[in-house]
Amino acid sequence: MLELEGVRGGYGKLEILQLASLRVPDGAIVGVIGPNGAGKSTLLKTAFGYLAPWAGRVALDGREIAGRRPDEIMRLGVGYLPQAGGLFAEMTVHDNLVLGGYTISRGEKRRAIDGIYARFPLFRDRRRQLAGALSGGEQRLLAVARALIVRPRLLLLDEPSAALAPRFIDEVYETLVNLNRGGLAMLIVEQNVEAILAVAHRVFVLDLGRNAFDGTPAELRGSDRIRRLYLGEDR
Amino acid sequence: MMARAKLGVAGAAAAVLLPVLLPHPFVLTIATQAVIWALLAASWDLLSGYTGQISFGHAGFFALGAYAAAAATKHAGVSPWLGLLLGAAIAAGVGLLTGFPALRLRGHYLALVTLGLAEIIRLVATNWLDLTGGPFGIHDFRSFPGLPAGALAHRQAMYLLVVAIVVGSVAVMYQVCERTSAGKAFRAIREDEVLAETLGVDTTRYKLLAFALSSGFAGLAGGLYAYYVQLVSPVVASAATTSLVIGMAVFGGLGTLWGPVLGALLLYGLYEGLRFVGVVYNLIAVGFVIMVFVIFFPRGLAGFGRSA
Amino acid sequence: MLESLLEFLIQGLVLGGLYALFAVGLSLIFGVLDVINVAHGEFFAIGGYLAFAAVVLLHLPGAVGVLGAAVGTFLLGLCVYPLLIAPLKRRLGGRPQGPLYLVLTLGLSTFLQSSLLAVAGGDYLRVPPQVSGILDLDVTAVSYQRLLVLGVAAVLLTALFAFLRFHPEGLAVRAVALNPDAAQAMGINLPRIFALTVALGVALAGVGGALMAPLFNVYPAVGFPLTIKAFAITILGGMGNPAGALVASFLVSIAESLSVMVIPSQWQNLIAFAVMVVMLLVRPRGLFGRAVSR
Repeated sequence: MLELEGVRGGYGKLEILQLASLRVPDGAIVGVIGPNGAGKSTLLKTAFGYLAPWAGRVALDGREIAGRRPDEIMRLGVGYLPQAGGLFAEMTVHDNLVLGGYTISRGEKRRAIDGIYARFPLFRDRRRQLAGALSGGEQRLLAVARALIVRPRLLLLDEPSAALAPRFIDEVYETLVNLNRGGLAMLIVEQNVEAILAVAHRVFVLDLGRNAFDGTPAELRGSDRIRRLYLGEDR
Repeated sequence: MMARAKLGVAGAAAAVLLPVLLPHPFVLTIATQAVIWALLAASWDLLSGYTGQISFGHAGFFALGAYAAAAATKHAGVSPWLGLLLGAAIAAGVGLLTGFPALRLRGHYLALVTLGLAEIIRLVATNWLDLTGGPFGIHDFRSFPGLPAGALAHRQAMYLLVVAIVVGSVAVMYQVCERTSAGKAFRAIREDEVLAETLGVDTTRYKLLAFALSSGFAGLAGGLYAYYVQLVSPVVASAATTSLVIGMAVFGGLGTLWGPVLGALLLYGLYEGLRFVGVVYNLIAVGFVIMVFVIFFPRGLAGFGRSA
Repeated sequence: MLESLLEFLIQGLVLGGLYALFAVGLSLIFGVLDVINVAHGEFFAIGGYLAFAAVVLLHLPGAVGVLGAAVGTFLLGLCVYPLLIAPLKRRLGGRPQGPLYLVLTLGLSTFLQSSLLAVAGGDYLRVPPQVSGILDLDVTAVSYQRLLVLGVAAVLLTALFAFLRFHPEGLAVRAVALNPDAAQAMGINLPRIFALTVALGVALAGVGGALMAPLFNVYPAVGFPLTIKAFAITILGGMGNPAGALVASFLVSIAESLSVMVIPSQWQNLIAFAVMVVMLLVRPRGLFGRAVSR
C-alpha cells in the first residue's frame, strides 16, 4: 500500500535520510526502529508530505505522492499521529473531534462523533473541556479516535508509546491491534522496541538514515547481531 | 566576496565623484541628499543588517539629530560643527536607552517598539511648539561657516564637506564591523544569539554598542540634513523616512555596509529622477523594489552573481 | 464633572468601534499567519475610495458603497497571500523571520499608498454620509454616522467571532493559528486558509474606511495613522488574540477620550504609543496574549 524507495531527504541543508526504503502491505502493521537520530520521524514526515524528499520514490497504492501536501495525502486515506502535540490543546475535546471530520459531511461527522462518544464515555463527559486538560494517555487515545473519524486506510504513528505509563502503553497498543484486525494498515515508528515487536508483522531497522535490516519480529530476535545492536544485550 | 565589495565601493565612489565632474546645481542637490541618505542607510545596516536587530524607527534617531542640531544653533547659537556632534550624541544616547528593552525583545516586537518610539518622537516634534516649532518646524538657523559665497561654489563646497563627513563615518563603521571583535560579535548575535552567549560573547554589551553606534550615526546624518536643507519639520520622523531607509538597505544588501550605501545612492537617484518624470511614481517604485527584493533578491545588489 | 465624564465615555465608545474593526483584523492576520500587516491602513483607504467611486462617481446608494468596499477589499486581500507572502515563505523555507515579513508588508504599504496617490491624486475627497442627522442625548450629541460605525462594527465583529467559534471553516482558521501541522493532518488546506484570513482581516478595515469616509475624507494616507495606532492596540490586547484586540480597542479609545480632561487634546495620540512601548517593555504578550515564544 505504501512504498518508500531510496528516499533521501532532511531539513534545510541537513541530510537525514540517505537511502531509506520500506513497504507497508495492505492491512499490515509495520514497525520502524533504530537509534536516536536515525531518521525515523523524518521518514514518517516525508511519507506524509511535511517534508519533500530530495530523491527517491514515495508511492501510495502505486501512485507517486512525493511532493504532495499533507492535507492532500490525508484525503487519500492516510492518517498521521505525531509524537506529541497532535491535538489542539487550547480547543475543546468536542472541537478537536469536529476538526477531525473537517473533510467529511456534517451528517457523517455527527454520526462518527456520536460513535466515539458511545465507545468512550470519558470523552462525552469531558467534551467541553480543553483537550490539553486531559492526561497523556487520554490525549493519545483522543488523537487516535479523532484520526479514525474519516476512516483512513493507513495510519502513520510516531512513537505512540512516548511518555506513557506502561498501563497506557498496553491500552494504546491493544486498541491499535483491534483496529488493525478491521483492516487498518499501520506504519509505527517506535523507541519502545518490545511494544512494537509484539504486534508488528514486519519491522524495519533504520540507522544513520538508511536501512540496516528488515524482517519479521522473530527474525529480528533470531539474529544475534541485531539483538545486540538494536534490541539491547540481555534480550 | 572581496571582489564584489570592491566593485560596490567603486560604484559608490563613482556615484560620489559624479557631481564633482558635472557641477550642475540640480545634480549637486540630489547628490548631497543622496549621500546623507547613504549615511543613514549605513547606520541602519550596522544595527539591523550586521547585528540582526531590525529597527523600524530610525527615522526617530535621524529626527533627533536634526532637531537637536537645528534647535541648538537657532536658540543657543551653537556652532554647526558642535551642533552636529550634539545631534549625534543625543541620538546615540536615546539609541542606547532603546537598546535596553531590545535586550529582551525579538523580531517583530523589537521592530514595533522602535516604530512606536519613532512615532512618539514625531508626535512630540509636531506638538511641542516651543521647542520644535510644531508642524512648521525649525528654520532660520545658520549653516556651516567659512564656505564660499557664490551659489554654485557654495553648493560644491557643501557637497564636498558632506561627502567628507559621510565617507569618514562609513569608514569608521566599516572598520568596526569588519575588522574588530565587536563586528564579529555583531554577526554572531545575528546568526544565533543563544549560541553566541554560550560561546562567551557578551551579547548585552555588543547589542547596546550596536544601538548606540547606529543611532549616533543616524543622528549625525540628521544634523547634516538640518544644516544642508536649512529646515527641520516633523516630516523627517515619518514612516516614509523609515520606509525609504529600509528600502535602500534591502535593495543594496543587508549586512554589507557598502550595499546600503550604494543602494541609497541609486535609489535616491531613482527617486528624485522619477520625480522629474512625474511626482507620483517615485514612491511606487520604492515600494515595488522593497517587495521584489525582499522576496527574490534578499541579498540585494550585494548578492548578484553570488550563488545562494 | 459627571456630565463631561459621560460625554467623553460615549465619544470614546463610538471611536472604539472603528478601532475594533481595524485592530481585530490585524490581530487575526497575525494570529494565523504570524505576519504583521503594515499595509492594513491602505485597505482602509481603498475602502474609502471604493465608497467614493460608488456614491460620488456612480451615484449609487451609500449602502452599496459600503458593500462594494467590503467586496473590493476582500478580493484584493485574497491576492496578498499567494502573490507576496507565499513566495517569501517558499524562499525562507519555514524559518521564522518575522521582521522580513514586516519589511514586505511595509513595501506593500508604500506601494499601495503611492499607487493611490498616482491613480486618484492627493486631494481630500468628500463622501456624503450614509446616514445624516445627530442624536441628541442630554450629555452630548453624537452624529448618526458615528453610531452607524459602531453599529456595523458590532454586527460584523459578532459575526466574525461566531464564525470562528461555531463554523467548521472558522474552527479551521483557529486550528491553523494554534497548530498548522496538526491542521494539515486534518485535511485543512493552509494556503486557502491563509488567503481567506488576510481577506477577512482587510475587508473589515475596508468597511471601516467606507464608513469613516464621510468623517475623515478620503486621501491616500488616511489609513496610516490608524495602522500604527492599531499596532499599539493589538500589542495591548495580545498580538494574535482578536478578542483581546477587541477589548483593547475600547480601552484605548476610552482612555484617549477621557484623557482630554487632563492633557491638551493634541497629545491624545501619544497615549496609544506610550502604552504600547510600556507594554512591550513590561509584558510583550499584552493583557490577554500567549507567552511570547513563537
